[in-house]
Amino acid sequence: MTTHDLISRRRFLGGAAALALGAAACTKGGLRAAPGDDVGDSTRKLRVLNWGLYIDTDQPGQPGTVSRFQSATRTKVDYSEAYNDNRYGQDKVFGPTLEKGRPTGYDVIVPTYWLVADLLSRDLLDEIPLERIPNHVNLDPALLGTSWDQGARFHLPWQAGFTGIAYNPALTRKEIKSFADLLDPALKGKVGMVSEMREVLGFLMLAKGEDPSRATVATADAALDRLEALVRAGQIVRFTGNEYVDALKSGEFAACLAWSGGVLGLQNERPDLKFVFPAEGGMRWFDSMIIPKGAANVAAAGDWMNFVYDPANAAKITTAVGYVSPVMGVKDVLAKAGGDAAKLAASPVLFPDEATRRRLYFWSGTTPAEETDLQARFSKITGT
Amino acid sequence: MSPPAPTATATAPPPAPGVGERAQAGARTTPGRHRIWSLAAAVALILATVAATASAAAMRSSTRRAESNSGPVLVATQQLVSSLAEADAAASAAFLSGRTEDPEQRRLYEQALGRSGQQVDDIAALAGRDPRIRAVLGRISVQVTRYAGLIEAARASNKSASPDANGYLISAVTLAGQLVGGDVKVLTDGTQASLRHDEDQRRQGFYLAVLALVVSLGVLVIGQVTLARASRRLLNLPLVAATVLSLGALGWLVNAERTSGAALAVARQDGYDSIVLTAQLGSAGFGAKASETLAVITGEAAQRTAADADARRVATSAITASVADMIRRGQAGGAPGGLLGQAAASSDTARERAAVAEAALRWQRYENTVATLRAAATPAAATAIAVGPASSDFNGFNFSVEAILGQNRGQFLDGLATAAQRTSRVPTGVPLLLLAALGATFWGYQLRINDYR
Repeated sequence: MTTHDLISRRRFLGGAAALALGAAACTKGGLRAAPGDDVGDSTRKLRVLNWGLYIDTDQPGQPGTVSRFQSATRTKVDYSEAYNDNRYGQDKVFGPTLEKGRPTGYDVIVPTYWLVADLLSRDLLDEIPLERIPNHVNLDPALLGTSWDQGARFHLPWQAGFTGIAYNPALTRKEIKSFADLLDPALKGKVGMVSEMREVLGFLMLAKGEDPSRATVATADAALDRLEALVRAGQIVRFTGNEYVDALKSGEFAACLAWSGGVLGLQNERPDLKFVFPAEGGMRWFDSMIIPKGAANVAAAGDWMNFVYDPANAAKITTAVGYVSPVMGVKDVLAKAGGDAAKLAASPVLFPDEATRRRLYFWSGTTPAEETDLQARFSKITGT
Repeated sequence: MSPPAPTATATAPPPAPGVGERAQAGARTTPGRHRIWSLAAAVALILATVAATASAAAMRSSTRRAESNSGPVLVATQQLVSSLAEADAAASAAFLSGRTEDPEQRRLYEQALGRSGQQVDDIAALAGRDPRIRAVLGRISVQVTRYAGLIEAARASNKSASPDANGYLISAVTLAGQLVGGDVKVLTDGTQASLRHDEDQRRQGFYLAVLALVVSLGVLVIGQVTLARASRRLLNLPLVAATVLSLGALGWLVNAERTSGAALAVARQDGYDSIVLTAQLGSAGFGAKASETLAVITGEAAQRTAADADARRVATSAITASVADMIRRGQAGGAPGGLLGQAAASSDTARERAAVAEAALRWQRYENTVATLRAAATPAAATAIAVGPASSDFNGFNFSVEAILGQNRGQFLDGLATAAQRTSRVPTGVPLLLLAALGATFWGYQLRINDYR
């Protein structure tokens, strides 16, 4: 597992929200939903669009998930890693196709949760064929109850992750325990933050004792005011995508907001670097498999979802990508496998305890239109 | 000397003949008889048009009301039951998590409470000015507010470790139970009656219209026979057209009644009955969860008994992977009993059966965790399980029930929409056909009458 493996998924995540959520209401033209209760037989050809380096690949003597699925189901998989980020998804995938009433050419796509909610609100998704996914029962209940799709009938999470604080103790010269510690003047000019608006504002709200899962324009604007002041004061040196890994390694950042999977990979190389969920709480997110309207092979899409929701297969993906699996039972599979896999099973970053999970929040509460305005101001402040 | 006034030698002109006499006179001539037949046919067709228009309008308005009003009100009422139960279970779980409240349970509580408020508003908007429903909704709003107040009091007391905390929570749970069993049930009964009323109204004037149409068809047919005998021509094309048009109107009306009735029946059977069943399933599950939580808080055996009773309503036997598989294949044969068994038996699509199978497996997971909770060595260990895995497993069950409800709601509302769509053109189409038949009738008779000029 390389560092690059772990960070590609989060490239350029920030900034895409405004574009995605600001999109005008679409016309669905000639797109037809799959029949509700019978999706027919698989055409034995499946087209998947996912983020780069977000799955286990073929290794000598160890076929990857795609190969194993092909063998198990005799389905040819056209697996693309072209989904660079949600902006790509919006501009190159959903915008020119679904929003103009044309099929995307894919059966399964993996956008981030807020974009899934947006697509669903615009009726651009097919219902997943639950009858072909008995392993749906393995979905972690924590991801089953989103307000926009209770019961997960239109999406199935692929991988999840947390945003916390990574730091270099040699540079901070003290243990970092809270977000407030990042704002210590002693770290002025040595602090980095991710370029994802919801996560940065979430932390600023948590620092004030506010709940980012119940954000309002007022609380978000107040957080932006605080962010602006921090930027002006020079406390934050830079807002980055995955580049925070290099900045941490080079010493440019003494501490920064960081993504759990990225740090897990980084720690293989630099075990001296630390990752913590701040005392105030952390932010969480997930990317989710969806079936866009007009998909040619909904049956095979269901078979794929069922396959990757088998805990044994899900554990292989977790081992490769280092993010949090939404599939229950993965921890047990890893623990039983022993060796490095068992170490992963014991990782508090992959499997935080109940007390830590209680302190992790999804951003929620603001409308797409409000987020467009917030994103514009965030981009102006951060230069992203 | 003026000439003498002439004497009246002529008798007074006879009085004008009355309508009856004129008809009698007319009936003695062939054209006169045609005129009378044409008038009779016109009267019959006009009466049929009026009756069919009224029947079609009633059919359309009642199916539309079912689609846009009583159906959605029923769905919202069932959702209200689920939301209140969900809020209650989440509030209890959040309370149990202690001074450091579980934000996820708190979020679920607020989400469910907010949804219940929205559902009350939706019902109020849909119910219009119905004074009975408005009165019940008013009472429900007051009680929901009281309930939320008690939960907040319990929460604040819990945070400050006040001994009153348990009392507030128990009062809130009791109030929620009274609310669901009392005013919300009254509301459900009222809205069910509204849907039945709409279904009954669909047939208002239908049989009268059918009778009027049959009579007018009879008049047209007899008229044609008479005409054929008098003119020695086999067919009078305009009258044939009038007959076909009338027959078309009759067929359209009957077909609309039959197909809309079938769509409503499907909506009721596959949709609404399943919604009620699934809502009962969810509520029984919530009841079991809330009682179990109260048992952990209070240590009262009675709460545990109540939890067991509700759990038996959900399922009477253990759910294994093979039972779930049989549910998926539609071969469960009533297993695993209880509401889950009923839901499995009444599921009519592979997707619905898959959703029921998942709910069943998740319920069993919850039950297994509850067994572990009850076997916990210490109250603290039991609380940790209740707050952690038990809550998580229960949420899994709850959200998979929501997936079944989503299927059922879709079927119900689609069925109502189909019924409404099948009657949408009848009030315009049927009268137009009959008016065309009327015109053709006059034309047909006039053609024959003109033969005598």
